[in-house]
Amino acid sequence: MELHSLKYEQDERLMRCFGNLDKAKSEVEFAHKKVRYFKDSLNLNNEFSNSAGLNSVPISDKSVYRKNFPAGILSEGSSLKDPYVSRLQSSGTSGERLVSVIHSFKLAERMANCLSINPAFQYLSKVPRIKTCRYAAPNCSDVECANPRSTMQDRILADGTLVLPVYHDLLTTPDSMLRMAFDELHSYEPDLWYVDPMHLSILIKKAKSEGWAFDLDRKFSVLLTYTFATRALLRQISELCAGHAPVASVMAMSEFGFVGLGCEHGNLHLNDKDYFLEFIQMEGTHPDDNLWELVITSIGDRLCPHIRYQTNDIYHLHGACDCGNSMPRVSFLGRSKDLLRLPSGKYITPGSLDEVVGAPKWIDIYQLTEQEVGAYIFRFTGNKDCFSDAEKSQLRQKLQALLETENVRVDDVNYFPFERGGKFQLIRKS
Amino acid sequence: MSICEDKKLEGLDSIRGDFPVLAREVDGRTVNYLDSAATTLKPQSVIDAVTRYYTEFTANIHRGRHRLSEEASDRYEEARYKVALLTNSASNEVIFVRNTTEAINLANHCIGLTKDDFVVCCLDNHHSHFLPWLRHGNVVLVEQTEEMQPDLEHFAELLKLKPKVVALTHCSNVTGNYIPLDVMSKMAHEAGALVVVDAAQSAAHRKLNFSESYIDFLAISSHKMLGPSGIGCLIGKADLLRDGEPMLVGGGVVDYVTADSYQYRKLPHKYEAGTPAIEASYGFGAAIDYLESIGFDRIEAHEKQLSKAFIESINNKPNLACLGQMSLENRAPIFSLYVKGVSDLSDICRALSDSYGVMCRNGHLCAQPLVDHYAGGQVIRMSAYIYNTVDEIEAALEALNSVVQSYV
Ligand SMILES: Cc1ncc(COP(=O)(O)O)c(C=O)c1O
Ligand SMILES: [Zn+2]
Repeated sequence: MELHSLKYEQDERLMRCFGNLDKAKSEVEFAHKKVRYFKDSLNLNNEFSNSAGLNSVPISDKSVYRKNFPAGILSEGSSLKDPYVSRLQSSGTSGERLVSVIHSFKLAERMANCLSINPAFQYLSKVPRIKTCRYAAPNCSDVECANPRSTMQDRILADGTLVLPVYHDLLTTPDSMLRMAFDELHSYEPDLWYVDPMHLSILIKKAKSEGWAFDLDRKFSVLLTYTFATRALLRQISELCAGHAPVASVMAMSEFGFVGLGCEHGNLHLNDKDYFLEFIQMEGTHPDDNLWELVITSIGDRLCPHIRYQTNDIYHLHGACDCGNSMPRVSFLGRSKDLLRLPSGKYITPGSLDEVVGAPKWIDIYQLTEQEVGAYIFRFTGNKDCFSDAEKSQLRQKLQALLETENVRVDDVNYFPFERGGKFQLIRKS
Repeated sequence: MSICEDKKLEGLDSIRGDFPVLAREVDGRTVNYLDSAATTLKPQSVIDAVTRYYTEFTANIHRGRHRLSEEASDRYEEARYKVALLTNSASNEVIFVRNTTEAINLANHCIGLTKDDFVVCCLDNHHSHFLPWLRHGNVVLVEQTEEMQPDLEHFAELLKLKPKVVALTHCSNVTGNYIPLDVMSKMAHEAGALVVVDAAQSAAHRKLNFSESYIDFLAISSHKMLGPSGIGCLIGKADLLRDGEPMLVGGGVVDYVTADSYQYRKLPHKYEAGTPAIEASYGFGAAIDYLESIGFDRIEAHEKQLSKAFIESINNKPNLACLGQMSLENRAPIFSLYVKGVSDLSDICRALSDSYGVMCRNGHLCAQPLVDHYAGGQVIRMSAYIYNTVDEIEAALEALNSVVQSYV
């Protein structure tokens, strides 16, 4: 592990890096040689060759990969026609939009290295062709799974993944479609449920209320991804799966595929074999706040190398994990656009909010909205018979302390909006 | 802005500055705006949101994948989410239309009536919530009690006719009274009727809770809720909307079209043919933000003060009489007055405007059956909202009283 500081124009921010620095530098050199955008923009001077030299390479972001797609960011001689090139689309519609391309072998390698983090999932690396059911926002796939008239065949991707039908605005999905998803999740006999925890929780809840019984005797595992897995969601999922199927959170990005996995202790580890990971202290924070933005450099990507790519994801860094895995142990706190900054300068992340909310029986889903600075609405839904006014007002007090204001309204509701791309924001700004 | 210290706006004293029209002078006189039941004033944030569409996003929505169109669509849908959260409904139950009138006509169309179908209406229904039912159904009216509330015994009798629709007005635009909505919609629902509620007047004053009510269709207008005109909503139970037939068809409502068939898109898009008032939706979203940040508790507390000022002022002016209950309970600060012995109130209204800066409305208020029934002619309506002060109400009634002296 290296620890050094990086000079920024204004202030000095700490940085922590994990992975093989030499390989990261070779990736930069490769990009400089073979990829038009980096050829034109990088100036690999003397500074680059000394040991901390990666710092001299500018940070890239989504817009670089969006604006230069495809010719400017693909390496010389590669083609989108290659049958082994997978095309992945981010669910975002505005600043988030992006089309990414990854070589299938690279995807598989990254996945295998991530699965090695958790013994319960390692067997999947040996399954010749993992049969996956994906249940997540429709925009994450290229099939029209939001079309109520689509058939199962319409929704099977080239790699054999079945995309279950669902609407973008999850809670408006009609009952008939929930039933279809439930049935297909069984009839397709998947090895892996690759699901948004929010989506799975809705299906669990529906199944419970309708008396549909999940078949838990078949061997399968559950990977949670896409949205922040709150304690309340994990509670609902573990009620179903505990003792039957392993459940872990996976950190995946449409730009890279798998980036990390939760270990047997439920702690997230990020893959520092396939990526060089740089964590940069968030602007305006104290090192004790332990808030880091992740920047990734791919290792050995000969199709579309990512160079110091800003993920916009925020993490806590932790020390070694009891599981013994040496890949860095982190917790994911949310996307930087989902953070709030209080007038005192304190950041509120989905992670810090979730710590305060916890997983009481009476909360299934919740969302915090900042109406304006200093004014918040906390909306939740859950079992209405399970909470007292006292518990509700206790939660309100905790939120008031977290948000440093009296002005917090707590409403119980029946509906939550999802972004048009299908993502759920735990923290919304009006 | 001068606001009397001892009659503070329950913490709302700072908001007058948000409403540019209040800074306007007419003939050197500031505006005393008491016509919010017709349309509310708009805060600067709403005006800015409308303008932003033209300065930042201009693009059509839900038509293609370019960046501006995606951003414009995101914001349009964001407005729908805000309506859903405000009214405790789901986004696919929120259909954007032009206004309450269109919303009710659409509900009417969706339901589909024949002349044999009974429709129970209340005497205080606005023409918008009366004519569509009169045109297609067989309307029966609920009698009113002396307090001008619907007579629930009579209502129960009418429900025995097995009406297809019960058309209720949450808050009257004439009397400002709220009906017992929960009780009546439950009775109607249990009698097997569809419940259609006109919430044009209540939506800006009280928290609505669609999903936990027996209401099947709910109609609102943005322009009565601090938002722009040109947009309103029909909020309908998803199952009913799924079965219903749209009033208009055209661009945006179908998944695919062949030479001889088509397949509707899912809710709510099936009901939104053609390019909508995109900029108005942004303004509507900003208006909802504004309402949410004030909060209905404060709005109701403030309105109670305004209603109290109305009642006290009217009570000490013998020439003026009020149509409806003079009680503080269950009412919005909307007061319709008639002047004993004076039937045409147009001149009086003009004088209030031009000599005193008081903007209010006279006529039958699009509720002629009711106004004719009780007032026998026109009324003057003064309606206040969050930006009005007790002083303004007292001044307006003093003004009315002195104008009236010349007519009686
Ligand atoms: C009770 C009531 N219903 C319906 C309407 C009609 O609203 P809109 O003109 O926005 O369609 C009004 C407006 O005056 C009203 O007060
Ligand atoms: Zn571990």
